[in-house]
Amino acid sequence: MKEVIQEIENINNSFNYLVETIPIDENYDGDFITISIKDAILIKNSQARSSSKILNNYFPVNDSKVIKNTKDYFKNKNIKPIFIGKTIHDEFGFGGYNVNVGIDKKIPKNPYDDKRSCGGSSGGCAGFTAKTKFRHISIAESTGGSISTPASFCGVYGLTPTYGLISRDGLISYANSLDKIGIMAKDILDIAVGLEMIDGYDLNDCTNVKHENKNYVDLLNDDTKYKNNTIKIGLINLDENNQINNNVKDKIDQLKNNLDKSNIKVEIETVDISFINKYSLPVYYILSLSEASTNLSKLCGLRYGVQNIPTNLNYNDYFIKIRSENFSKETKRRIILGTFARMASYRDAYMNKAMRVRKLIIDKYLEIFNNFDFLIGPSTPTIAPLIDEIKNISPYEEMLADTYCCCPNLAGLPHISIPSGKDNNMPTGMMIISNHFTEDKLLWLSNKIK
Amino acid sequence: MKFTSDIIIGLEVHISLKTQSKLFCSCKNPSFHGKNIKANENVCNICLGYPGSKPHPNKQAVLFALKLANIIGCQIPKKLCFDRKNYFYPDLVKNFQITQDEFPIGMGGKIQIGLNEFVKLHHIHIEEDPGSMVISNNTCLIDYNRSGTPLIELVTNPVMTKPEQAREFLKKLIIILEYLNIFDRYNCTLKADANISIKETNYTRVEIKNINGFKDIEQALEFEINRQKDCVQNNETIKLETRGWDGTKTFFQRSKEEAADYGYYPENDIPPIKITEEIIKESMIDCNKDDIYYNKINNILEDFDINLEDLEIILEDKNLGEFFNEFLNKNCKYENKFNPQLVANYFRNRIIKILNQMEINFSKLNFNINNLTILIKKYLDKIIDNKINNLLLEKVLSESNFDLIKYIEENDLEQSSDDSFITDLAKKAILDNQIAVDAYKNGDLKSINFLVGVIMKNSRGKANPSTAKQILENILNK
Repeated sequence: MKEVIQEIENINNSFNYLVETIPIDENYDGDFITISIKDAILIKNSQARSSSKILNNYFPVNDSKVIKNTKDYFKNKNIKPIFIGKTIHDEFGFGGYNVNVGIDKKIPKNPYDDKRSCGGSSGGCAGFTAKTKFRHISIAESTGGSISTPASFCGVYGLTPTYGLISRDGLISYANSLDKIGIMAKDILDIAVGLEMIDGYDLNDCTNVKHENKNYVDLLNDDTKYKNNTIKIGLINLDENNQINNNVKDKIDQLKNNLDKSNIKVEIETVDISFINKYSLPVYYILSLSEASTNLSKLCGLRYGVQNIPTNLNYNDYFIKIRSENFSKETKRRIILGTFARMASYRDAYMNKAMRVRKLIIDKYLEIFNNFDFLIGPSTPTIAPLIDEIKNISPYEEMLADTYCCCPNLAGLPHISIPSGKDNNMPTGMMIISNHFTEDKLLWLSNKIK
Repeated sequence: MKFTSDIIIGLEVHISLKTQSKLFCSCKNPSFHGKNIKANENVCNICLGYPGSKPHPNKQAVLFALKLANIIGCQIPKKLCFDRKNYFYPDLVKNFQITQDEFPIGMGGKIQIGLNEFVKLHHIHIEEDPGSMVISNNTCLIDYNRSGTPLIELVTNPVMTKPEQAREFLKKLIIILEYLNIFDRYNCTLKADANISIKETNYTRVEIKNINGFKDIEQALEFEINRQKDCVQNNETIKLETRGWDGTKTFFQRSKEEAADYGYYPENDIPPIKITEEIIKESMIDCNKDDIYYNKINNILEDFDINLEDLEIILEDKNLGEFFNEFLNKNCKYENKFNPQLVANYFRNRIIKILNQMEINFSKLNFNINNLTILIKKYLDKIIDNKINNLLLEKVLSESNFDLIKYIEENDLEQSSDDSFITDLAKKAILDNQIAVDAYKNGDLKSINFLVGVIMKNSRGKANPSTAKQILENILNK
């Protein structure tokens, strides 16, 4: 264990992935798997700030459901989960590059090039997973691409499950109709293990859909369900001729070969999702910011988190002072935009329209999944950008990082980002999307790509 | 909107429900368990809105709301939806309140406030109550024990035209809620905001917030009407505003010229829940149409000749009303034994009077109901004297193992109609009270009552007063 502890310290000193470490029993010498947790997910007695100053000193009284499930999962196994700490992310998940760090921490660096971004918002999860030499599972979270983007930039696997599969109880909400807890790992096996360990129906989260746990690990290699059917794959977002897309195409060739070897028929064709691509990003931002602006209103320096008492200010001035001093610029921008979209005179033009378009996008996907089993394309349009470049781009351009992955996120569809190769020595990612609650199928196919 | 009346009143009533637990967590509901809990000890991460906590709706609260919506004739939506109403206030833990905006649990409906008088409703919806604030010495203390407890907000149309009508509305509303067993006037609270506008101000709407109880609503509205009329006479303009009520006068709180924008947003932590026929049936499991106050009154009026006002008062308490109804059916119907109006008089003038003195609700009593039946019969049969009845009634209602029959026997409390016994007493009374006898003989017929009183006193209440009167008349008119 001393080696694990030493490694955590070394990685963190150079890459800034952890905002909080959890004490580890250094005398333990059995089998173990290390687990890191996105800061927005509560673990009892460990400060949970969602990477924001405003939550300084918020020590949750309970474990989140995914932590409880994880502890239960390993109870009767001769392998011990070692929770190592809370990983950094963009404040409340607001960002695609993990440069919007709210607390007094340094910006995390890409494991392949420390001048580049590790992606966001779950950047700490991806970076640590890539860097550690030990077997590791990271419990991450995605609202609009916060798993796929960093997984792709850091060259690891990142699974975003169906909305409603994994309990959100104990997750500090960004946008509660979009937030999904997921898994990052170095290989598909540990993605399956991670999904099994956090899964479990939860009455305390009303959006959690009643379901039986599946044995995702066993189902990884089980071809029987797929032998007699033709697997239909739709290719998306591969028009441009560039290295990222070429890497995806190479992987698809590999996949085809492997399916042939397993005697599974496959049909591949290009699918036009221009409608989805055109509207997902604006709809995603209108809805996620509307929700975020109400979710964050509870943070006001009373009851928990940062405080400034005694004060001679009245309530309103006190709330304003606390929120002005402790939210980052990006957070304030998102609160203002989200509040605007909900206001009585604008809600029809923005919020209500966005909700209707979201429904259309989901319908469009479901129509596609009537004919296809999977959609495959690049996870991100670019490789990890240089941190210095990000500082110069506009907030709007920063939002474009989510162009590809906000689409399945908006529709609550399960998707996985798989390392697809390199471009300029930086990792690239390929994204596979499948229909709601077909994680077993998604992981099975991912396992055919090696 | 075109108004035809000089005064227009609409009410928004907040009703706390007597569910066992809070609306979105399993903390105790003080409206059920009582308020005897230390400040901020009846809280959890959900009702304190801690980051990461998620609400899950209380089925009992939803069933209560459905029951009310169904009974008062609301249109019930196909789905149960919650919304966030956003505003910053220290007693509101999340700085948004989970309530219902676009699809309330009941649209329309009406509350019956008299035999043929109804008040139409706009809607009813479910919402959570904030905590409570105590402000003193420039400090604000907040107690979140109440935070997250279930409320029903009931909004009437602007259809009331008199302050007394608003009072009657609240009074009848409480009775209806108690009949449905979703509210209890001792532990639950009912607060009203009243909107009032009068012709003289061109119907400028003024809101009076947080009025507790039906006496206050009438007083507050009367005060406000007079205030507005005075203002108009003095050429002052009435503006859209919110006022408070301190028990004697309304006072300015804030202007409403700029409408608040609550930025309502669907509460996505609670997805829409289908309201099925089964769940509506389940909500009505302990309740049917006969359980409505005025339906009960109508049923009794069909069978018995009783003053309506007496019935309204007796049936205010559902349990007392049930006992009354049963007594009538058993003792006034077929044998035609007792006059139902006399029974009603006994309930209103004896039982309710004593309950009011004891400051207790009939249903909260711990007593043997057979005793009460026996006592009423003996009283109506004139076997028990008025004064003795009062003494016995108090014992019957307050002592759970009181043996009425034994007590009457042991203390020899039954009245006598025995002629010779009373004749002796009458003769003595006549001898001892020559002045009254003379007065009677000179035409002052009322003075015979004095002699009856003497007989009652000397018999220690045992003599039947009407027999005594008759015997006295026989002797004196000879």
